Amino acid sequence: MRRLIPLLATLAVVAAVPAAAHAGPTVYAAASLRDAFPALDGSATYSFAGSNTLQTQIERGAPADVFASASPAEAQALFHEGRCSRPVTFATNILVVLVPRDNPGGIRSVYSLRGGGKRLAIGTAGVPIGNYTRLLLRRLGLSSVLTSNIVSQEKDVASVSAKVALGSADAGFVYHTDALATRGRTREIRVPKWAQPAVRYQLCAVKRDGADTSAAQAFIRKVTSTAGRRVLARSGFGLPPRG
Amino acid sequence: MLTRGGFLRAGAVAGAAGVGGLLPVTAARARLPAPTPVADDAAFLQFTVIAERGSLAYYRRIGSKAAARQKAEHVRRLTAALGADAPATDDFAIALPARAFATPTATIALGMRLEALLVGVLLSGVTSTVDGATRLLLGRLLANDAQHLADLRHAAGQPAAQGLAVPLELEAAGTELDRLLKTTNYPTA
Repeated sequence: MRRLIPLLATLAVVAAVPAAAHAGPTVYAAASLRDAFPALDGSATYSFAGSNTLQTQIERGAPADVFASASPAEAQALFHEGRCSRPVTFATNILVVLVPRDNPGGIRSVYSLRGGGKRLAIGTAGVPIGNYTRLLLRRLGLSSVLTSNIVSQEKDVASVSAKVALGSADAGFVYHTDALATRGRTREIRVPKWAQPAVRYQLCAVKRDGADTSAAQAFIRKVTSTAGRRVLARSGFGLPPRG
Repeated sequence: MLTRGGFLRAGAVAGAAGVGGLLPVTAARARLPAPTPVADDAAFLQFTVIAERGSLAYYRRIGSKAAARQKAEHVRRLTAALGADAPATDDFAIALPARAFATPTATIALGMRLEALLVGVLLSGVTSTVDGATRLLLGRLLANDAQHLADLRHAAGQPAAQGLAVPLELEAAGTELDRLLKTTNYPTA
């Protein structure tokens, strides 16, 4: 029995670890928040991906407590389905053209893409970065760059910026915050303000059996607090007026 | 001698002329087809709606109610034409340079700059858009904005008409317009 005591003690500790690990909520968040959110709350468990993919997973019963999307469409859809609380806008962003540091495509502005023949990475239609990119190009009168260049379509913005950073694409459309996250390997080229789509991030507490609602609400309060806004601003996000 | 009163009266005249030129005053005009922009047609609508907002802010600032009413109508029509892609009111903040209102001459110069941008891009749009109803809307706005430009030139003591207008590329016009814009919550990092 004496021999068993250390083993039981160890088991007790092991059993306690998951409880401690689950002290924070499970957060399903847009890929562009992959650096900012862990810096804001290290106790949460994160799953980062395209907002539309995460929305589908939550609709299928994924164990999320919080959902943060890169456009209002996904969070609002879950809200209208009764699957999450009323979403709040907590951050904004802008689109930029990202090119590798040595810029082998010689891209000087978004209009350089009119020349065609470049390797261009964009988000797929349906994922927020893909939708925003297409809207931006329509607004600039540059939809034709999607046919005149060699276009690869990526499942989320992290994949677009990785492709550019690795030099597998001459240019990609990403958020300003993604450009900051890969600076050193990439350069960002600003696109005209007058054509910018309004990139709005929204956050809600997921409603499902077993959801940790109090942890979710605490996380949302943390994101929208003064300290949380400071972290978001440091990561390059814009901030909406306080509601 | 250019006076603020004279300039405002000129604006009011332009207002009256423009209302007659753009607003639907007959049943025939009310039956004009609704724009259904195709592909890059949206670019001209987008640029114009933002520039017209700048122009609206300008006329409000100088207190020219008639011209401001017309500009508001331009914005309404362009927003309707853009449909779901239209920018929301709070997506952009117009930041007209304060020093442009320091003297009547500077004030009129800013108005002319805005109207010249609009006339140039609308002319370009009329030659480039695919959808006929979108082209018609741009043409009607062009006629009205050319009147505003002529009135401003007149107020500045210049000939109201200065020959044939030249189409402006969106790229060049956009650079000029961007100097007057702040996007709401634009990241500053």
